[in-house]
Amino acid sequence: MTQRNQTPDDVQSGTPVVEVQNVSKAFSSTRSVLGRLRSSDSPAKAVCDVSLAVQRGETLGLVGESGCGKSTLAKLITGQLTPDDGQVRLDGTRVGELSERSTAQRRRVGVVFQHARGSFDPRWPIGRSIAEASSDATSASLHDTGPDEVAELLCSVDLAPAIADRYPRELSGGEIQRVALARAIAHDPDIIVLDEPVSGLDMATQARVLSLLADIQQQFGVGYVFISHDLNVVRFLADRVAVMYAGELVEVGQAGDLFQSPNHPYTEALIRAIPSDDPRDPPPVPLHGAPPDPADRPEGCPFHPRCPAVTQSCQEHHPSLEEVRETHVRCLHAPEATGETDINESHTENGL
Amino acid sequence: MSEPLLRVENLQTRFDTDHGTVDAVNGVSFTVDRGEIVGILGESGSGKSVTARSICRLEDPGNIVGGSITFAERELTTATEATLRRLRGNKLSMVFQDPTESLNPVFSVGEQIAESVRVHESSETQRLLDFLGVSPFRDRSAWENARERAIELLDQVGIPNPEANVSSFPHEFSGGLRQRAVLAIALASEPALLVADEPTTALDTTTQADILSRLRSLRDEQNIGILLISHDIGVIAQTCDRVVVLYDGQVMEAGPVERILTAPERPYTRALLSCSVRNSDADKQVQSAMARPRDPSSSHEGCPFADRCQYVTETCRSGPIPTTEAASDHRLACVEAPFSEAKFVSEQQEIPAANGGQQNDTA
Repeated sequence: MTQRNQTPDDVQSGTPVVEVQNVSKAFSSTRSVLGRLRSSDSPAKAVCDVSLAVQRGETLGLVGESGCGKSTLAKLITGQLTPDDGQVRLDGTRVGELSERSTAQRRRVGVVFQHARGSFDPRWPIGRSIAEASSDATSASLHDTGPDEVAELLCSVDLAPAIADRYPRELSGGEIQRVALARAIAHDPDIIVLDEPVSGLDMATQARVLSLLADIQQQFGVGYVFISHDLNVVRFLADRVAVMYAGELVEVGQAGDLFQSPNHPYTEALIRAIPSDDPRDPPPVPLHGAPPDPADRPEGCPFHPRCPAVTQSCQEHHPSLEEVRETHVRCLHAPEATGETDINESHTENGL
Repeated sequence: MSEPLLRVENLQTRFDTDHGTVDAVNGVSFTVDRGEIVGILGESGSGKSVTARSICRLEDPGNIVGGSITFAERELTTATEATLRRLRGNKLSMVFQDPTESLNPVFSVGEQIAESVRVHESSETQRLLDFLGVSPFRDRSAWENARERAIELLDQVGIPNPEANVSSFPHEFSGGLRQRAVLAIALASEPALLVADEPTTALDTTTQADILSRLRSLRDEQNIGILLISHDIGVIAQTCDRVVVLYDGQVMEAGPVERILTAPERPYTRALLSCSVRNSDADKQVQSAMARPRDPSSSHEGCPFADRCQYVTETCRSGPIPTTEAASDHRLACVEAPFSEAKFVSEQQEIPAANGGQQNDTA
């Protein structure tokens, strides 16, 4: 019954499976209508004018500190939130929020939530949760999904079929994460939004889930929007990386280029904060200060209060996302800073 | 040599569950001295947190069934609840993974820090008088002083604008600020030992780097001993002086970080290091030989890692594994050890031949 509506031709074609165009989303802090009329509070801009596209079989890493709007952007893609401005397109067709999407459209996007355990019904054995996801998509009754299909899905995430009879609380963190992935692939999505799927897991489990994600992608040709604050994990899995700061994209590029020679000072700060496994390496460098209050964004470049390379013009002009070498960068100094003088030796290898 | 600040000797903590007994900590020994950071590294379920909780005697519902914990020349395994209360949060402070659960949502952060300051500075009788609220005996100025100290502590842990933030509530803080506030509470009593259980796991990398550098400066400037528990090799590598690698409640290898994390001799440590995504770049090949952790309630003899070890021999399964001193300050529990660097390198290159040549070398 479940049938992939994807052909090899689709993979080659240029239409991205998911595309967001100039989406913005703001949240108002005051709940009541009266309060909203009275107060002069400006709304918190969680996502500002973001455009991104993800192809089939591609992994887009979305990184940034907490509060930068990563999860809001993810919810805009999944339809849990409606953008104030801009549009979300699935295969070139504009879609609305979840309730406005057809079943076929809903099936195309899978989600693995950050706290996977909380996304399962605690009173259901996990087999039932998975069966619900796969049958829901084909609008068949619950009982139509046989135990075979559930077992097959569990096997594809490297779990024993016997686990279907167990309850979410009985599973370890790594297991529940894999079950969540099994549920996400149950309805044959074209793209899976993974919100911090491995944070909170230990290194060995993390490695397992990551290699499983890579396998699943190869097997099913699914695209990933991979959200994480851990750049190591993103470097491992992502083909392209988008760095977000204060609701804006500040750098988008091929993962290899971006990690080897970051163009934006914020990307560089994120990379320098990663602790190295080798005790002989210099300690990680903290980035001081906090991201700006989304309701009260600074003038000019939003990163300027924390930027080590800040100048007068950064405080006055808001930079736009410009193409520098192979990447897109939102920084006033990007063209000069990444000119011929400041390029790593590795640059010559980045022939993408 | 003088007695170290904390000495854990052959600690055994057991949980009785419906499915049988679980030896969460099974004969763990290590020491922490003033002015050093000792890391405990292991996967989830390896007994890291139970070890930390046992040290603070918060092991309930588990039971310490053997071994000793000596802290500041006092035996903790047999200490009374009154003694423990005086020690905990005083000379012995703890920071847990989730700051939201450590903070009280209905009190301001400043009050919670001031409380910690007050509890450790005032006498028991004064606290009772304060509690009863008998006005002539109430020491109000002390609260003022404690508030000033709270502001000082907020500043010390890197909370911006401490005068204003002292009256903020936990929900107004971000995760990073909350963990800093918890750290401030832990430091209020000027502890000799700080037990930090995954203090940065829930935080951004940028904030993590800052908290770790603060831990290092606490060690250097205030001569505090720190026990840092983490599953993140990078965190341990960049912060600790010595590291204890735990697996299935047992110490696999212990010694200086430079040695353990750059030239580990225990196959388990090697396997753990190879799991790090940092060590495996573009080729997308992480070790998953580490795959299945064992069922902790099943009893076993011999090395707990035997089933997953690529160098396993008959001796590994036959009996208890002795802990050997590979060098001064470097212990490891492995019958096949010590693996020399050269041997490991050659085996990495020709893995199929690894098992054949092994027994001769170590005889």
